[in-house]
Amino acid sequence: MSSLQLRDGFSVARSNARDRIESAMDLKQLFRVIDADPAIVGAGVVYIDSDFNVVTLREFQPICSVTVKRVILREAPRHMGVHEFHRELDSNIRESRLAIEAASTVFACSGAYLSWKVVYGGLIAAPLTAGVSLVVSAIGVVSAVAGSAQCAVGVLRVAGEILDPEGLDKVDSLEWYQTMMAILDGITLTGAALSVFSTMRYVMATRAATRKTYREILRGLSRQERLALTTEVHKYRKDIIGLPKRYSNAQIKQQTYTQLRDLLASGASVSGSLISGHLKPIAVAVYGEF
Amino acid sequence: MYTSESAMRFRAKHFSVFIASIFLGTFSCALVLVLAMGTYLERADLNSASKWMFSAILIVSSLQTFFCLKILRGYPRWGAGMVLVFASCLLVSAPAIAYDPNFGLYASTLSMPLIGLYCLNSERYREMLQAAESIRVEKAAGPQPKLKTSRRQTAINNRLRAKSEKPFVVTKCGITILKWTGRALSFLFIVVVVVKLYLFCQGLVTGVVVGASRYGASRSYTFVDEPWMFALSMFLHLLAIGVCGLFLRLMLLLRE
Repeated sequence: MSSLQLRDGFSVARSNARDRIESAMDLKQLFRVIDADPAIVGAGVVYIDSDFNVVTLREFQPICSVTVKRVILREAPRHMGVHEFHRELDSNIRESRLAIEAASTVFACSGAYLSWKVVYGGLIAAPLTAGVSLVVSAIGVVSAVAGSAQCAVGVLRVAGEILDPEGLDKVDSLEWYQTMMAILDGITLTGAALSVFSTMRYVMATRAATRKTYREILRGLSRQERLALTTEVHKYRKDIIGLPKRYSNAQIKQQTYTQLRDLLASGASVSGSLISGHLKPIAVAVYGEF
Repeated sequence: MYTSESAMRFRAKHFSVFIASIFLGTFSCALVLVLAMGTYLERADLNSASKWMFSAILIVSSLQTFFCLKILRGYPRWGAGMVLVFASCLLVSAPAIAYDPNFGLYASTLSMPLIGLYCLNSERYREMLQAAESIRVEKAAGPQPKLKTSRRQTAINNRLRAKSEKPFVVTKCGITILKWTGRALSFLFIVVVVVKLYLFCQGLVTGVVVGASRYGASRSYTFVDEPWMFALSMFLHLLAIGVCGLFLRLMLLLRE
């Protein structure tokens, strides 16, 4: 690797590249052209040559903008023609966008899965009682609708990214579309909050009844503790029909394990949605800083 | 969570076929719309076409949810609604062959509702319908009177039940994985809460908030120009903080 050879602490290949660029181009003219554009006055200039040596030609100067801006010039690799290189740059950006769309579709579908799981669990067990649980099940149902819709929209977007990328960009900029997607996002997030909350209720019930850690519960409970747990859980339920008098150890273990798994699943789904959507502004901000 | 035994058995057994039917419905609807985008709506105005498609998605998913809820509550006749969804997808997509669409897309669009119909017709789905109905009947009938048995018989029954239920083996490895995943998620959520709080405060102070939309390029909204979008974005940021906070509280509860 030639880039590993050092002279006075600097890479030989890099300083060679700098010499080559400085002799080949009129840098002052380049900077003058860049500074003539009011949007990028004082932007830093970085040059990437055909051997992927990165040379900083000029640092960023905060003349009229506080946020760091850089112009990156990239030379075509030697084995590529100009047109081919141009096409590759275009498709490169599109490919990464396709991957992002696919990932966010997967997250949307996992959100739909989760909200359906909440609806499924809630409806089979509890008959509708007026008050809080009615609101809770209504939120669950609405979030299931929103989750399915987001999943379908995600599939459509992936297809649009493949078939008609420019059309997709146009749709993205529509005002009503942005509003609707934000509202759907809000609904699914509310559903996720609901599922975390319902898990929390059971965790608190378990702790109140047994005063033991989850590891100890998984190891097994005595007869009295199981009875206490069962009565505590029954306090939260309106339907006593069909509930056993005392859960067996195997049942408790299984339920506990399912609780933990559900909790992590909901956490993963929420964080997926956050990463794919709600953290994007931060990513943009961080990218701008470097 | 902790439920009656019949519900627990129902839940463990029938969830996979239930969720499969829902996802097949969603995907077939989406694929039909993709096909329509290339064929029927090729010349249509993009704005109105996307509005039309978005409302179609919303209508189909809410219809599907309604039918599925009815089925879960124990009315198997509403399964006909699911059949209607799949059949209409099939009917809409079939004539598109006149427009000479992409063959792979056309084939998958046709096969998706067919697989869905097969799923509805399968033995497991029928079992689910029956089980849901029997649960409803059981609930309507009220608590069953207890049969009096001798102590000896109860003991024998309990013994048999304990034998038949295989204990759920939780390996130490599984617990460790759960624990570390939980820690990683907690760390991520702490970061999210901090950043979101920063964005929220920034929005309150300066009146400009970065939009929290999942799709498209991120935009910022000002309170003066777009008050609705500003309020919506602020609300979404708050909601995300709330969800993360709930999760963190739960992890604190579980920590020992």
